[in-house]
Amino acid sequence: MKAKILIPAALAVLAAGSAPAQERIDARRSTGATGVVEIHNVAGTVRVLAWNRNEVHVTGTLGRGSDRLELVGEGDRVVVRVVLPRRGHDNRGSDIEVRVPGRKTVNVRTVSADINVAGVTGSVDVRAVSGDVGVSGRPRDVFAQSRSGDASFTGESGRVHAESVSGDVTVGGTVREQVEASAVSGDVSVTAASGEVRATSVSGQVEVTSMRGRAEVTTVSGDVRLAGRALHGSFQTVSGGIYVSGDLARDGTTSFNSHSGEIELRLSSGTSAAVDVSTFSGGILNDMAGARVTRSSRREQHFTVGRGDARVSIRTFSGGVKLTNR
Amino acid sequence: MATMVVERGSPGAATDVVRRAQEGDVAAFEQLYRQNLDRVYAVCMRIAGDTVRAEELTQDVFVRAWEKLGSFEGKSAFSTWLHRLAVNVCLVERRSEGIRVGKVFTTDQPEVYESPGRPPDPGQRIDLERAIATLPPGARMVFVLHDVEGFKHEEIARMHGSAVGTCKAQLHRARRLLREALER
Amino acid sequence: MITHEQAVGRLDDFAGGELSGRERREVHRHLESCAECSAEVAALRSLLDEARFLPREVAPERDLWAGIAPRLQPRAAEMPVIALHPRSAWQPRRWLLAAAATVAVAVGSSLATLALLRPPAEGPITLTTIDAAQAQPAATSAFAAFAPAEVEYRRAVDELATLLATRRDRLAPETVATLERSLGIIDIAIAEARTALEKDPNSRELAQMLSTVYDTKVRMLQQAVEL
Repeated sequence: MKAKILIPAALAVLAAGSAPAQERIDARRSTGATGVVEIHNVAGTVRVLAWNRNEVHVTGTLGRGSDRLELVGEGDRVVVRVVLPRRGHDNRGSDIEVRVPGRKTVNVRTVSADINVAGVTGSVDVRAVSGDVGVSGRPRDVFAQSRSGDASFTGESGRVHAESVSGDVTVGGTVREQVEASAVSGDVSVTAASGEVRATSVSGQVEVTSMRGRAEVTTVSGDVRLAGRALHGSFQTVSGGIYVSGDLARDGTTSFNSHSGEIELRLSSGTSAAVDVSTFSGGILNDMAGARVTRSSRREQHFTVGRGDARVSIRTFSGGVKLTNR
Repeated sequence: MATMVVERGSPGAATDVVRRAQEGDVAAFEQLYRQNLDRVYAVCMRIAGDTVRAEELTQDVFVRAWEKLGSFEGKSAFSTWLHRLAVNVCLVERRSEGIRVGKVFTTDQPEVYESPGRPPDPGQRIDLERAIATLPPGARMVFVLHDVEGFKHEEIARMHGSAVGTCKAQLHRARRLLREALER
Repeated sequence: MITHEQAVGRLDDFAGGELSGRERREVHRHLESCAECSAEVAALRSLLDEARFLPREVAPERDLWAGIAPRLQPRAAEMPVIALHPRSAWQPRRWLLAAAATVAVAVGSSLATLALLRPPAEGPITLTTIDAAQAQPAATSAFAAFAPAEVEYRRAVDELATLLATRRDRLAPETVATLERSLGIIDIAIAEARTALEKDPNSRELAQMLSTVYDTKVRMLQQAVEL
């Protein structure tokens, strides 16, 4: 794609090193209601807002060290790029705000710049290296990634994928089909998804609240915390603890696995479940009201509460298991 | 009607369902059928242009999907894989139909596509869905794949075994005919 | 400068956003002074918008399952190909539940099998043998039954660990440290479970636990490799 450089009248082309500290940006380009807007900015901030005009409008300030702002378009694709001079320079970062037609698909790439996209209803794909990335509103689907920054989504969407390595990952709102949230050392928090949830962290904590679809959670040393009204799925950790407070999905199948961490379930008294607990050297403490125990030994316990609808398996190697009512 | 309960809220649990279907569990496959029926039927109906044909094609798609389940590797969502398979089934159908009927769908013979047929209610404005159904088959296929489903010309040409130029011409024709039909 | 006729021939591609830079600019320029072509483009765009927003799903008038079910040939119990983490190509074999007198109902869940032990009174037992060719009528110890799965796990771990080693320099030092610490935790857990299983080779539960920890190890390595 051969770029045509559109330089707004208000903005002078900056020669490297000889420019004033900051230049105000005000550039526009008309475009269709659908299609893609692509934004590149290495450092500073990027804010994207939806509006109902068939136009992309970029405002903000060009930081010292940036060469110029490019705003080009091909059909329904618009590219916004903060261009840095070829030779490495002291890049102070540019803060840009981009208004786009609401139905556009938005892709943003930065290195240290934080990214924030709000109100867009197309697909959103935002990636930074150390910047924080955040998306809100009702995008069709979301891909949000950072390495050391936080990745977050709040709003309504079909599918959300949010990941970071050392930053925290937060997904809130309603995600109808699937949430994938992962971190290595950061914490992961997913609230109120209604579709499938896959959440993992290696050493961070994973918290999933109020999901209705099936959940799959894996950590190595982080704790797993669950709360909600229709819990089911597979939850496993090696040395972290698993703490559950809520209700199991009526006909769900759920497994809780920890090697050395403890597992604590606090379930409401109306729970209907058939539960198998087994541990190698941890203890089993069952305080659930109305439990009909059919098998019990030092290492195992099988019991039913209510009509035994939900099927639950709890396994630890050396972690203790505690079951109580809320 | 089926008495099976399908959790529409958690299609992601489909990976479990898909695995069971791959292992031969017909009940699991039926779940996949119910979850994806409407999407597959939409594609078949629009490409085929009539409901009877669409129903047959839809059934062919699912039978084919069952046969090919072993090759689904989970790299994409199941519905995406199924969608591709549906488009392929419809196109193969189109190709073989062309051969059977002896027509060659190229723009070298534009007279083959003279009149799109009258819309169902000539006196009233018809909607886009019905207008698509009145398109000649080749034009309809390209329009549905390109403008509705979002495939590129190169992909369509490759899948159908024709030239990109042909596809573009078909698309041009389809759009023109549709606009005429919609303006009546 | 393109002529009106030339522009007309390109309006379709223009409206669909498929023209290359120079051609696009030329058409765009032409539109600025040609009301007829502008109107045409507007009409095309309106049609395309409508097309794009046609319903993605349409319900057929009747249910079609009856025409499908009878045509489904029985499938051989093939190895499941998909992994629960779809981007990965690795798929472990669920280890075989020996056809012993013990009651076990395998409920398909994650990569580790979830085995619920039901008291004998509860009726017929369903046995899931993953690979029919390997079904063994005699009960073998759980440890022995797990052994082939362990080989698979180890192979997967080796592959992933090797791959990860080549990509280490892409990761920040703190991340590498976290991963190594975590692998250490996992390996201790594997050693503990394995030792216990060696001492009690008939314990299905211990084999299950060992399988689960291996599973976590593989998942962790998969995640690390994709960073």
